[in-house]
Amino acid sequence: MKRIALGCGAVLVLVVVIAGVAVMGSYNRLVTLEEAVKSAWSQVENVYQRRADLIPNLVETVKGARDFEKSTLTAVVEARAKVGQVNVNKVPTAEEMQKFQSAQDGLSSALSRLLVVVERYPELKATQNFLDLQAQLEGTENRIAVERRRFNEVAQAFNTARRRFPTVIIAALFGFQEHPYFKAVEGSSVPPKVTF
Amino acid sequence: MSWRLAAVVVWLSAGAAAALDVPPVPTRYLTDLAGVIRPGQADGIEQRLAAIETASGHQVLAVIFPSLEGEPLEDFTIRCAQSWKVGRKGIDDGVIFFAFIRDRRMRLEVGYGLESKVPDAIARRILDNAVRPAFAAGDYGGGVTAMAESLQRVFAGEPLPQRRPHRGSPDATLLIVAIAAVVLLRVLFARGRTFGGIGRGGYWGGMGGLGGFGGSGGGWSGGGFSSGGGSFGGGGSSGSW
Repeated sequence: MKRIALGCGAVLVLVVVIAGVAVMGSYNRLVTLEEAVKSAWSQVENVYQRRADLIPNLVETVKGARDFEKSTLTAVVEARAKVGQVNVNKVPTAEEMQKFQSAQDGLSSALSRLLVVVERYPELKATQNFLDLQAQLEGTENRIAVERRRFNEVAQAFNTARRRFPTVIIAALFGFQEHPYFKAVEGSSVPPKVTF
Repeated sequence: MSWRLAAVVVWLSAGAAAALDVPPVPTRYLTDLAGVIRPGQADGIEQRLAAIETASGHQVLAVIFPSLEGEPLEDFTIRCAQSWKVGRKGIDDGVIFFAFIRDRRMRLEVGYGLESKVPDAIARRILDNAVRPAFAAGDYGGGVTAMAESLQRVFAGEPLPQRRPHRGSPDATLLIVAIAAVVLLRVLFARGRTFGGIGRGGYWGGMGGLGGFGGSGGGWSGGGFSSGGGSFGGGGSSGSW
């Protein structure tokens, strides 16, 4: 009898150890994936900040052009101000993400409209200062696209791991939240409308 | 590991949907998939790009594609850059020049670590002022050489020259024009003495263009390119010609 009890005890200990190792493995994997999401988010913030930092210089340059269309410029300045109000210093929740994205997309469309309007000012377009700024803006938009995609990739890796069984139990136990994605901008493939 | 599987599935489906796949990591500094650069000139470019890595450690690659096959330019080039990992690991100092001949589009993809040395505005100036005039004249080898020269200057901390006149060597287009001129003038010459005066002078003028074709050969047999593990974040500039 004693021997059977001892055997049962050993099996129990083994099961507990295996379960413990499994929990630890799942937990650690979630932590690793979450760190990747965090670092991807900080890159996203960097590139958006980079764009916001370009705006004052752009506004100054464009202002210098003779009778530049005021409303376009105002729209950019306002969109820039709105972006400044939405500060997300950590990986956003779904709601924060929506606000962040709508503010940033507002600035994107104001900027693309500005660049379209500039086409009507050949002297401004030809200045080296504007050409440099335009290159920087295009580069920043491209970096934004790259970092957004990378964020979505790591967020997807995290979310997939989080929702799998039995990791989902550990995720609930330790409070790992699902991360939202960047959505493609509606009508982003449509060029901005030019009104004369 | 199901997310890995998911990633593979995503990657596979993306590959299936894309008309143009990312080629394997190039083994040379210059890869001319479109066949627009003469072998002699290609050797010179290969040596120059290899010399950049020897001198500065920065890896600079040039890849010429025949066409984008409908792919979005920046999307395709960043996928190549990510998969080839040009530049040293951790320093991320790779640069890749892409050109798509039929689309007349090009891009300079700059690694994370060189974004301050080669900011977007400089990348754009290199494309606009050094590459574009040569490419527009059909001198692809000259354009890639000018790109490499400009980068050498930038890496050495020298200022870029202002837009300079194109002074490339004669290429295939010029050769065809020269031959056509010779044929035309011969025909005119044979027709009668009316055009004789022009014919004689033009004939030798046309032949003069061929002089530039000497001095090729002597293949470059260096070590070739091997990727260092650098990463890219979408810096650089795009252009067209």
